[in-house]
Amino acid sequence: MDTMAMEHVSVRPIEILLIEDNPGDARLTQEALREARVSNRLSHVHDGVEAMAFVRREPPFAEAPRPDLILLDLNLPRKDGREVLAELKTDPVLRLIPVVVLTTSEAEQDILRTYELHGNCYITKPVNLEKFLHIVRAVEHFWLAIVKLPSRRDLGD
Amino acid sequence: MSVQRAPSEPSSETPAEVRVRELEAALAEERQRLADLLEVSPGWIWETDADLHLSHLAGRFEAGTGIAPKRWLGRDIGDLLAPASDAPDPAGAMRAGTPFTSLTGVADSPLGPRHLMLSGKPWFDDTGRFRGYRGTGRDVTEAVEAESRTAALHRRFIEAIESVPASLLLCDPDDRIVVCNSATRRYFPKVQHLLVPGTRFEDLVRAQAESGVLDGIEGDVSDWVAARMMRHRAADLVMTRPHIDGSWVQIIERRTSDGGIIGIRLDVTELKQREQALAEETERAAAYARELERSNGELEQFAYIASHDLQEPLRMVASYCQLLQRRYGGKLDKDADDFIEYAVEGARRMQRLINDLLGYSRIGRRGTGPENFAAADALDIAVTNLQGTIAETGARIDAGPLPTIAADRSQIVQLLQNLIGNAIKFRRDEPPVVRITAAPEIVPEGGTAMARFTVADNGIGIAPEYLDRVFLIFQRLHERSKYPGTGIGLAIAQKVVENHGGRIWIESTPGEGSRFHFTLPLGVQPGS
Repeated sequence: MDTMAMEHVSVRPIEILLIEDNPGDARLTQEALREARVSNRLSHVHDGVEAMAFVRREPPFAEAPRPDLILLDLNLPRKDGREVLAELKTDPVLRLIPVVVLTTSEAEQDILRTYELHGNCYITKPVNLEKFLHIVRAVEHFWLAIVKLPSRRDLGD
Repeated sequence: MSVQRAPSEPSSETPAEVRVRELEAALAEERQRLADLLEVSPGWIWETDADLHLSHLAGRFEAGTGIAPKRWLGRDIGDLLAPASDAPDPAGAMRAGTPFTSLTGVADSPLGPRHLMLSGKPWFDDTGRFRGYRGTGRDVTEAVEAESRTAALHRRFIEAIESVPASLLLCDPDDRIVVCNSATRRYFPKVQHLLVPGTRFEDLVRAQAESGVLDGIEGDVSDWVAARMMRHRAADLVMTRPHIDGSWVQIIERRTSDGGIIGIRLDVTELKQREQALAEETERAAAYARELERSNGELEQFAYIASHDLQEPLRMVASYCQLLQRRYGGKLDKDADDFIEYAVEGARRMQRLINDLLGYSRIGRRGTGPENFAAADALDIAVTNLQGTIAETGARIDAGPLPTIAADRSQIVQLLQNLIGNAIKFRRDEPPVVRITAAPEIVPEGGTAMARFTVADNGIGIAPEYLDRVFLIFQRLHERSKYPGTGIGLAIAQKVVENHGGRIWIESTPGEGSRFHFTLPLGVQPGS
């Protein structure tokens, strides 16, 4: 499986969409992914409206790549992360994209709501850099190297 | 008894003789009548001479008075009968020369003083010369004594009702005033003239209502009086009503055995004021408690939000300081490395403080509510959580028998963990020994049954002057390098205990150890 995933990524880089309004957090994620073993390309949008436009390839994202993995913050301006998650997971095609909720919230109801909306996993951002780097690497390793994702064809490519 | 001559010898008498005989017969009859009357009369007849010396006594004198007639005959009536009171007396009337009826004097007798009631009139001879007094007498000692007993009883009754600090107002079955004590006047300040026997109670009530001393009469006075009288007639009344001067009067009305009504009025102003003061005090205390609860809630909310929201920017500061250290550590100069190190360390400490504050503010916000469980189970979990520290320091944890308690399990685990952790942290050079015991706490009757727990250690102890500061949040008594920590542990312990309605306190001997005591509600042992 590992081999197949590696073969898979060897064809082209994995597309990751980061939906995050805090530039500091976005940069940290970027920095962490820069050291990733798997070749990846990170796109970054700042709120829920942009995010939905991106995944639907609406202007100005008509040329946007179809993401293989979405990293979603819950507290976003304009359109909240919970709404984004709900919309993604009710779309027959988009719901195939795994969504990792990456947030500062430790609230029980946020965790519960995420899984109710079929979010794929819920991660609380650690306050410590080492732990944060570790988690991003773990996410990268798990989602990009271990699991098998739907093929691009299934995603409409 | 009259004697009749035989009719066979009527002719031997002259008409004068016949007349004499007839007169004699009439006289005898008159004497007999007098004798008969005296025999059945309870009194007697008497007569004096012109000097008012007693000259004649007949009838039941000695039987009634116990006085032998011979002791009285020939003596001055003034010496024999003393006046009984200020009222006119027989001797006085006789000296004044007037007729008199039913006057009483007091006479000495072997039976004691006797009250004698006399009636009499002066009598005169054919020439109109005053010859003395004559009349009737009667011993009325028993009646006089009975009357005086009644009067004394009445006097005592009046004294008794006068000594009562309340108003007593007695009405007869026709609802007219029979008697009232003088305290009653206070309660009817403007209609005191009506407080006399015979006044209709309804008239008194109406006059009182119209006099304007009562507070709270709304609408028509007649309606008010009608309603008041209805309650009065029910005669089973206890009410407290305000007067216009601010005083409060309690009225109690009860039926008497003869169908009248007794009314009692009491000034309860002081009681009422105290009652109101107490009610106000209670309301103030309740308002204060509500305010305190609200402000505590707000404070907790504030602490939660502040610590939660502070985490976000702090995470940035800390993360990028750490990133700097990671990327550029050892690549700049020694100063840069030091500065980055201080920034990283400061951020790390602040993160710990905020985490602790968040944890502190969460106590009471989270939690599953009280359940019954063995305190020993919570202790086991706390000890397991502290296993690393215990092994590292060679600490020994002893526990006596611990009761079942009714509490939030996770909070109690944290409480025990904080106290035991604290005991181990502030150890001396020897291995720490921590002993946890429990005993029933004496609580006031009706209070929740509590257990008193004690966590005793052999640590460094705390100087007396710091004892009251150990439970303050972020209060540290030692330099950070020697005993690390934010100083949240005991503040959390206190909050947990107080959340459960208990209290926590500490005894300590510096250099020997500390004893933390706290109380928690006892639970119901399963199956008991």
